[in-house]
Formats: sequence, structure tokens, C-alpha cells
Amino acid sequence: MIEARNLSFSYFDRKALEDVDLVVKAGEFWGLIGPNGSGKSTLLKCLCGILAPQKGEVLLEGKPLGSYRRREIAQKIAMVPQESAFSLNFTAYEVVLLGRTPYLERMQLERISDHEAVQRAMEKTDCWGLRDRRIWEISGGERQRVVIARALAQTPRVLLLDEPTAHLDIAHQVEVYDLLSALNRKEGLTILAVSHDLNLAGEYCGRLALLEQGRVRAAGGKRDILAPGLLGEVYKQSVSVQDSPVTGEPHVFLVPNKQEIQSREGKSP
Amino acid sequence: MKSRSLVFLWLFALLILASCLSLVVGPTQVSLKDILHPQEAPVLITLRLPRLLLGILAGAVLAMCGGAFQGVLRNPLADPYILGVSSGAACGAAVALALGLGPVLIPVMAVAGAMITLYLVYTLARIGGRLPADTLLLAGVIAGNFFASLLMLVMALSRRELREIVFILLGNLGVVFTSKTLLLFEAMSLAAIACLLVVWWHWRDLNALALGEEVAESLGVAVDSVKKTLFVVCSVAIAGVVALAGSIGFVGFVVPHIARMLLGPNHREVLPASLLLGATLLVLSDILARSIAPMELPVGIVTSLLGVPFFVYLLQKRKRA
Amino acid sequence: MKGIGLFAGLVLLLPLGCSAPGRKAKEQAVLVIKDQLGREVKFERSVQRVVSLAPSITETVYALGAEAKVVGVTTYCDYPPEARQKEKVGDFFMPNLEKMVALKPDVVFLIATGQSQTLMKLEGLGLKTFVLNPESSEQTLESFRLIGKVLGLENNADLLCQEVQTTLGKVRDKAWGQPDHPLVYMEIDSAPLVTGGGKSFVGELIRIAGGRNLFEDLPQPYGVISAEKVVAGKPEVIILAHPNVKAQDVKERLGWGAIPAVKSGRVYDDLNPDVLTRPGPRMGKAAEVLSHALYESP
Repeated sequence: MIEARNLSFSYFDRKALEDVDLVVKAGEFWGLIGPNGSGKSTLLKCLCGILAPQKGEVLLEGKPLGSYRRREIAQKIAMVPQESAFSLNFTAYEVVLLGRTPYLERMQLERISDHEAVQRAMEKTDCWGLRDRRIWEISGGERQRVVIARALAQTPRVLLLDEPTAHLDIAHQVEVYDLLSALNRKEGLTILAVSHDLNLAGEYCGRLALLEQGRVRAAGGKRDILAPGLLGEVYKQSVSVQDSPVTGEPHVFLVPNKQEIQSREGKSP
Repeated sequence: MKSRSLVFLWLFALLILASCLSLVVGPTQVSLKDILHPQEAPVLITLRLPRLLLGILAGAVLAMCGGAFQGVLRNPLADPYILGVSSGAACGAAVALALGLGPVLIPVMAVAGAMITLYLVYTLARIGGRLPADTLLLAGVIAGNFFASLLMLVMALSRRELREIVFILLGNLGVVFTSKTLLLFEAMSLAAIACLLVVWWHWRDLNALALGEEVAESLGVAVDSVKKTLFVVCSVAIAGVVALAGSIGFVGFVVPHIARMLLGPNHREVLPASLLLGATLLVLSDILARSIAPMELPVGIVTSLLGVPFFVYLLQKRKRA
Repeated sequence: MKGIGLFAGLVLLLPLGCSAPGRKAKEQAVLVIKDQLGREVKFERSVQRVVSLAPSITETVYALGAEAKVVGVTTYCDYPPEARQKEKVGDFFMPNLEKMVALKPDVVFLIATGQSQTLMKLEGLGLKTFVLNPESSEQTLESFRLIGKVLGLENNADLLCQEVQTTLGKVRDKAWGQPDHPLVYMEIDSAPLVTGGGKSFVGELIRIAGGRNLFEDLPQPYGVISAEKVVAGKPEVIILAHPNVKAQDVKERLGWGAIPAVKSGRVYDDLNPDVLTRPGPRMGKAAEVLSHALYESP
């Protein structure tokens, strides 16, 4: 579905991605993990065409991204950014409606089909009730649902999310990932989500790509990636990986440093 | 939807009312009936109508471009002069005046000045092929100050009186037209209308930009190209207005906010509403500027006096929210 | 022998000693003159080096015959033409203070309006300043006398005053004898439109010459007015006191064709604006020229 080949990207002054190869097949649910600064957001932006790589290319359905028109890419790939900065106080409905932009000509007004797509997207993300509320006045969790709805209103084949639950509480985190999982299973939506939270990635994603300093350290099935040795090396932090007692999916446990453990053992009975 | 059309109807009616008032107020007695039979009152056609049309054009351009800049720069404090365009335009016009280049070349030089300023701002603000909004604003302030100083220098060297500088900096609609310059004004108006149409054409892009530049990009908006187009087109229109009427403040900043308060933030409505409101505000301000005292006040003083209390009110409203 | 030499030396030195106290006696007569701001300015010795910060003052100093004493003028001081050769100390608003100090003037002449900043700076630098305020014809004549006093040329000043007053008198007499007093619009600038009102210097000249100023009641001496006020006022004579616009241009202004002055062709663009607006020795000439425009056929 979407593929990065030999991708290299540098910002003004620093290299962010180097020789990245990644193949995401249709219907897969990928998690993009890695330490801070490993290039996860940059990779996401290259995949949807916001950033143009200096070397290598991105292929969408087998064809290079550059061969598509901007609108066509937007109809197939939708992006949910890390932070939503709304400079104007639109209603939730108006925000989601903007997701139909790739399907409309400049002076064309939204059609019934567009309004239907908006309603469907908002119902899926359970924010239809918020449609007349203004975006500055709803909570962070509600706002995130509206943003995802906007992305869904684009009726994309691929959904790219940059830390979609970064500022949300656990209830909302589960809500969002449950939704993503359902979309992936029921509608075959290909999803690639950047995540800081290894447990969410382990619980929900099928495949993981581990980035380290701009390179793909490993990519594949999540059990292959969520290995304590590999994670410990890349994150420079000792971890232990166990299966969840509830769902059986792999979870990552942090291991505090030796001194900390020792001082606890000294104190606790 | 119905209430929206009603608002526009009201705005249009307000503009018509302000225009009629503008035609009726003045040292010569003119009654409303005379508007229908202008041959009876030649002062209407020769003096009041051109002044009214200039006011409508200037108000419309400033308000709509102010709204466009607020949208493109994602900054509610932006105004049409934020990129230094008005200083560059005024400087170009002043150079043309100082060189005695005649009335046709003055607006041409103003547009040239504006384009040079824009080019400078672009070059200063460019970071790796992109134009981030905050560096644009900073570059605009720098360029604006530079050209304002240059303007002062040109004025001082060409022995202009302080009063003339004040009127250029604060704006004045009291242009004395000749039949030649009236033709020029008509041409400039057509160009300005074309510019405003291009701005309105981008309403959805401006909406999308409010979600963030990257999101807009991911929605298929050619963000850099849209920015450049809007900057150039607005700068041309603003340069024309500055060449004729000087730099009138506050209209471009305050009016889009009022439009948003009335109609919500959707640019499809905010832009035309700003056009109507801006024209009305400036026409009303000009009526005051030319009738309050035996001498003419620079119209920018009136717009500021009307605009400042409104700005305070906006701040209070924000604080409570 | 040595005693005689010493005595002779003393005798020879005596005249020096005698005259010194005498000279000192003259120098000690300090001149205190009140300038037109009411400040009392002391002059301990005669004024030999003069800096003028206004064109009208420069004209006056030259008219009094004190050309040799002028060491610094502004860039605007263009009359008489010889004044252009003098050292420039900047212009009306932005004087070059360093240069002025370097010229070591005995007095700096300034104008009261618009130079208060400069006045403070000059005083701060320890230069002697003398301020004139020639807003009316009376004050202008007074300024001649005061400048004359400062320069020790009171006789010349009196002569100049007499000359100007005679000219003004002639103009007044001529005006008095006229059957009509035309309505005058005096244009000082065109963008924006600026006129001289009743309180301005040109306003007074118009009165002396027998005209009626369309903007006699303007609250400020000079002010910006709307074109419509001029057209509605229907002036009979238009005087363009600035070089930017010609009479032909005025005729082309929309709506101005209805003005009596334009219809009858009584739009004058050939009057020297410096003569009309500088309150100085050419004041009489200004009144004459205005009188000519008002009463001689075009």
C-alpha cells in the first residue's frame, strides 16, 4: 500500500532519516516506535508527502508519491498531527467538514455526499453530539476525536497518526486505540501510528517499526520487536517484556536502575 | 443559513446608508432627492462621489486583506501593514513625488515599493524553502521600520512639511481628482477588485490553514503557493490604496474580528462581510474627519479613535472566555 | 643708569596700563536685550559671528548689512543668493549641532515655532541663543529692531522698518480706495490641500492688500481643508503659494471649474512662495505683489 524506499531526509542542519526502508501492506496496523529524535514524526510526514526527501522515494500503491497530484494523495492518505493548533474557533462540524477539502473544487460548495461523509466520520468517533460546539471550548479528548473524525472524513485508505493519545488520560487512550483497531479490522483501514507508549503499541498494533537515529533498526511482527534485548539497546533502558494477563498481548515493563531497587529493598520489609 | 443572509442584508443596507450620508453631508446643501438627480447638484458628482468611491475601495481592500493576512499568518493581531507593505508603498510613492514623476507613475512606484518590500521580507524570512509565520512577521516588522525611516528621509530631503508626512502616515481621503487622475483611479479600482476576487477565491484554503499548515498540506492545499499568491495580490491592492490615500490604520485589523463575531470564522463569509464592513467604517470615519472641525482631520485618527475602544472590548471578551 | 631704564620702561608701559582699564570699562557695559520669547539675553561683547537658523532671519541680517558677520545658515537660506555661499548648519528641523559649536558663534538666531528642541540643545551646549517670533507684520518689524540691536546696527534696522512700513502703507492706501475687496483662497500646498487662515502671516498680508480671506476664521494659522469647502466658498482669486501646481492644473480639478476665480482666469501661480510666506524684509514686496494680483487685471 505505502512504502518508503531508501528514504533520506535532512532538515536545515541535521540528518533526520537515513536509508529508511519500510513496506506497509494494505490492512496492516503498524506502530512506529523509537526514542526521542529517532525520526518517527519526520518519517510520517515524508509518507504523506508533507516533506520531500532528499534521497529515495515514497511509493503509494506502487507509484511514486510525486506522480500523484496533491489532492489525490489527500484523498488516499489522511494525517492526524501530534498537536492540533486551531487558530480559529470553528465548530466541530466545520473542522470535520474541512476533511472533504481534497474532494472539492475552489468555489464548489459542499454537497450532500460530503455532509454524509462528515456525519459518518463523526458517528464513528462518537463526536456527532459535539458537532455544534466550538473547537476551543471542548476538552482535549473530545478535540482529538474531532481531529480523527476530520481525518476519517477524507475517506482515506491509509491513516497516519503522530502520537494520537499524547495528552489524553487512560480512558481516552483506550477509546482512541479501540476505535483505530475497529477501523482496521472492520474496514481494512491501513494504519500507521507513531507511539511513545510501548504498551499501547504492543496491545493494539500488529506490526512495529523501531527507529534509531534516523534508521530502521528493526521492523516486523510485534513480538519480534518487543524483545528486551533489542529495546534495551535502542532505548538505553532496561525493560522486561511480559504478556498481558488480560489480553495476552506483549507489554513492556520498565526496570528502575540498580541503586533504586537496592535502596528500596533496604527500606521495605 | 437564514440568519446569515440576514446579516449580509444588514451589512449591505448599512453601506448604502453610510454612502447616502456621505453624499449628503458637506458644506454645500445637498438633499437626498438630489442623489437621484445629480445634475442638480454638480458637487455630488465632481467632489463627493469620487471621495465616497475612494473610501469604499480603501475600506474594502484594507479590511479584506487584513482578514486574509490574519488567516494566512494564523495570527489575530495581523493587519494589512504587517509585512511592511504600506511603508514600502508609501516610500515608493514619496520617491515618485520627490522626482516629480506625475500622477500616473505614483501608484506604479507604490506597487513597485510594495513588491520590493515583499521580496525583502521573503528573503529574510525564508528557512529551508519554507516561510514560517513567525519569521515572516518578524521580517515584516523589520522591513516596515526600515522603509518607514527611508520614507522620512525622502520626505525630509524633498523638503516636505511635517504636516504632509502626517497625512501620508495617517491617511487622508481628500484627494483632489482631475479627469486624468480619475481615470487612473478607475483603473486602480478594477485592479483592486480583481485582487479581492483572487483573495475570496482562496476562502477554503484559508479555512484549512486554520487547522495548521501541515494539516492543510495533508488536505491537499498547496500552502506555500497559496501564501505567496495571497501576499502578492494583497500587497498590490494595499499599495494602490496607500498610494492614493496614505496608510489608514485599524480598519484592516478590527473589521475582520467584527465580521467573525457576527458570522463565525468561516472565511467564505468573513471575507465578503469584512469588505462591506470595512467600506462602511471608512466612509463613516471620513464623514467625521471632514465635518467635525473646520480643518480636515487625517482619517486614520478617526479610525483609530473608533477602533481602540473596540479593541479593548475584544480583549475584555477574550479575558472572560 | 638701570634706574632710568626701568623708569623709562615703566613710562612706556603706562599708556597700555591706562587704556586697559578704559577698554575694560567699555566691555563691562553688558547689553541685555529681551528676545521675542521674553528671555533676557546678555551680550558681554559685540557680536561678530552670527548663525541663523531660519531663512527669514538670514534675509533680515543681510538686509541690515551684516553679511560679514554671518558664519552659518540653514540649507533653506537661499535669499539673497550670496547667502548660499555660507557654511550650512543643517536645516530647519534638524540642525547640525556639532558644526554650530565648531563655528563658535557669538549668537544663534532661532524662530520660536518648531525649534524648541533645538533651543534646549543649544543652550545645553552653552551657545548663546536669541529667539525671534515674527508671526505678524508688527512682530516682524520688531524682529528687525531686535536683530539690529543685537548686531549694533540699530540705525539700519530703523531704516529697514521705515522702508517696509512705507511700502505697507502704500498698499493699505491703495486697498482702501478700492470699491471691492475680492474673496481670496490662498493655497499653501496641494496634497493635502493646505491654506493660510486669518491668523497666518499670509492671512495678514491678504488683509493689508485689501483681500478677504476665504478661510479667515480658520482656528489655526495654517490648516488642511477639503476641496469642497473651497468650491463651496466660491473665491474670486486663487493664489498658489507653492511650486507643485500650476494654474492650468487647478483648472483641471474636478468641480473647480465652477469657481469664479477659475472661470475668470484669476488663478495666480507666478507669485514667489518664499516672498509670500517668509516674515522678513521682503514683507512689503509680498504685500505689493498680492495687491497687484488682487487689483490689476490678469
